[in-house]
Amino acid sequence: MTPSSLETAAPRPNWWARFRQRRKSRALAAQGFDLKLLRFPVILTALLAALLPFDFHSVVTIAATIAFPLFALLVCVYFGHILMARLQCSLLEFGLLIVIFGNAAGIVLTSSGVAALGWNWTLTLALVLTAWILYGAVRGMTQARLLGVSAGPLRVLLMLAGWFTTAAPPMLFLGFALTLPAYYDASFAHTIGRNLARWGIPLVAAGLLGIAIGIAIHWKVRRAARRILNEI
Amino acid sequence: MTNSKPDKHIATASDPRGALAGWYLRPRFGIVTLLPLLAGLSVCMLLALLRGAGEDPRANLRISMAAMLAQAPPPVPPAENAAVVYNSIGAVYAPFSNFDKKGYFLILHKSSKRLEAASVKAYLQANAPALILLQAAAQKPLCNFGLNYGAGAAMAMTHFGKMREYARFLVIDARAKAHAGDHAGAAADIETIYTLAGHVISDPLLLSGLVAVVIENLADDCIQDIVVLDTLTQAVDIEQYRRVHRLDRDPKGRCMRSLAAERAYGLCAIDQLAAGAVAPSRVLPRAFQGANVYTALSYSSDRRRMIAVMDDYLKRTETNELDNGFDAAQQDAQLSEPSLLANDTLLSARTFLVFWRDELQARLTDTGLAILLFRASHGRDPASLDELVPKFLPHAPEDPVSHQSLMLQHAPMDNRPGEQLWRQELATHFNGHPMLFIRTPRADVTPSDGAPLDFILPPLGAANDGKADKDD
Repeated sequence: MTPSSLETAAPRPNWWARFRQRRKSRALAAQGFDLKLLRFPVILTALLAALLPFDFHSVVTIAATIAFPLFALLVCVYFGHILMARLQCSLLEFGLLIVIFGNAAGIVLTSSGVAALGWNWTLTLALVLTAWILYGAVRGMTQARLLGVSAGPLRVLLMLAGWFTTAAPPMLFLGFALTLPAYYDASFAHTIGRNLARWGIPLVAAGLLGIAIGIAIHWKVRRAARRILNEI
Repeated sequence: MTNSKPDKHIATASDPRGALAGWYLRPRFGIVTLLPLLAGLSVCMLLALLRGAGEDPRANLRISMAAMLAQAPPPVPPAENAAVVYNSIGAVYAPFSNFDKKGYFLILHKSSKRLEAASVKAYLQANAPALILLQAAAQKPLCNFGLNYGAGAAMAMTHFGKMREYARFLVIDARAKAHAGDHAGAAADIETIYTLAGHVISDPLLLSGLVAVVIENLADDCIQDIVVLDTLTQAVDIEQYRRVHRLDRDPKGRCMRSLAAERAYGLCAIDQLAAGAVAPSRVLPRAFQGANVYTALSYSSDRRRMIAVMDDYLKRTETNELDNGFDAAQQDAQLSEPSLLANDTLLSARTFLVFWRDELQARLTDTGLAILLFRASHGRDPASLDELVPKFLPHAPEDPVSHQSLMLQHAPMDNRPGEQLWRQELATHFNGHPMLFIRTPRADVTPSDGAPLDFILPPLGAANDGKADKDD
């Protein structure tokens, strides 16, 4: 019996043990990116904000209404920090971010429906938009770094894809919400107005496309990340 | 070699790309944690899609409040204002519940023997000063209850309950007088009830119109009770009631007026809610009132739909489409649409049909009194309603909605379970004798309790033999 045959005879850890091991090593590698104590207020405010659609008690409603912008603010702080301190966002990308943010927020915040909103809801929506911009930018920039794409048009495209893929689930949800009721009640389009109803199917298509792009990029980046970590 | 792999991972942590890769491969935020962000993003997208479709509730409120104030009736000098007298009655009026705990349940549509009870006599005696004041108020042609139209949806309307209470008092007084043989006094009381109803609709609001209809129906029911339970036979007595009975109640005019007022009221209410001028709840602090995502997304479409529906109803009333061939199926289809505030408007619009039902009841009552006069002069029932024309009626009575002629029907009183109690009492009282019903050929005209709307005449030659006076 040779030493090499002894080594091969050693029992191989099962898939669960390998999974745990991999998770532990990834966590060790990502120590600097951890939310640390910020994770608790983020989870708390997210759970409170999720209570908003339910009319339990006025105190709950008030707590949820306060928690919603707070959650968006914490997301902004975290991803703003990652983007600026960790990913070293370039001036071009920062300019792009401001242009996109300015337009998106401008379209929403100058819509006349906002006239019916109070300051608290206008603030919440503005923070949600900022959180979306920062989260999408971090997503695109991280993927570019891991794929080894340096500053340039491709990285800008990846950032745009980050925003698009983040917005894909809401687009899909909104598209279904505008499209599906019409199959049960033909007068639905009349109720919400034709201009709004005709957005249903394009939104569903855009949502599906966004999710498909997101999955495709994620698979590619995941492979690159695992290669960096010597997992494959 | 498999055991050495984890060490390699840790070794790469010093490399920024390794740290980034580790961060990317770990779940950063769970989907549940990201849900608020995605929900907020959906709202933002919807707002962006609705861009330009929204309206400013504060600007709308200025316009709708002006329209609301324009609905207020003209001021009336206190000396000519019947409302001043009505307000003074409260000090001298003692409600029936002070004398009999079962209250009006014992009197409306009940046997006349109940009116001989000591409690009823005490009630009527105690309220003799109130009766004088009510008759004095009825002498005044003008009325203004001084409602605060500037409060919009928060407007208080406290006089409705009192006016209905006084109408019930007059019904009891009229029935007691009729039972005692004083038909002139009873007719005067009934005339006062109709005047009282006329004063209530000095305000154009839908609620005022509905309360006026309820009060007029009390007077009609009072005549019905006297006809059936006190068995009117003398032409001179019947003439008294016919003289005071209000026939032409102008359903179209009332409907137009109430629709216009309800349009102003509804728009003012939705604007006040959206602008935060009135609080849906006093619990929430001001920052959370009125202004919310629902308001931003639904206010404008609901408001436009409300205007469209009310204008449609106004137009259809103007062109007699609401009272002729009204399409209930279409209205049901409108009601099934998913809108919270606009459905309230549709439901209130549906109540405008009450004005035509009120007119139908007036025609049924008038026809009933005309048949009683026919009986008094001919000693028999008319073969058809055409026989009453032209001596007792100017023309054959017809349904105000379908314009079909009313019909006569001899039938015994229904005594089936679920039927109104007073009809069951009548069935027992007349012991299977065929009653004479005046009905509309329309099958869909029923009051809210599901009983058919009709006027009932006792069998020919029936006298109040006291059978109905037995208590249950």
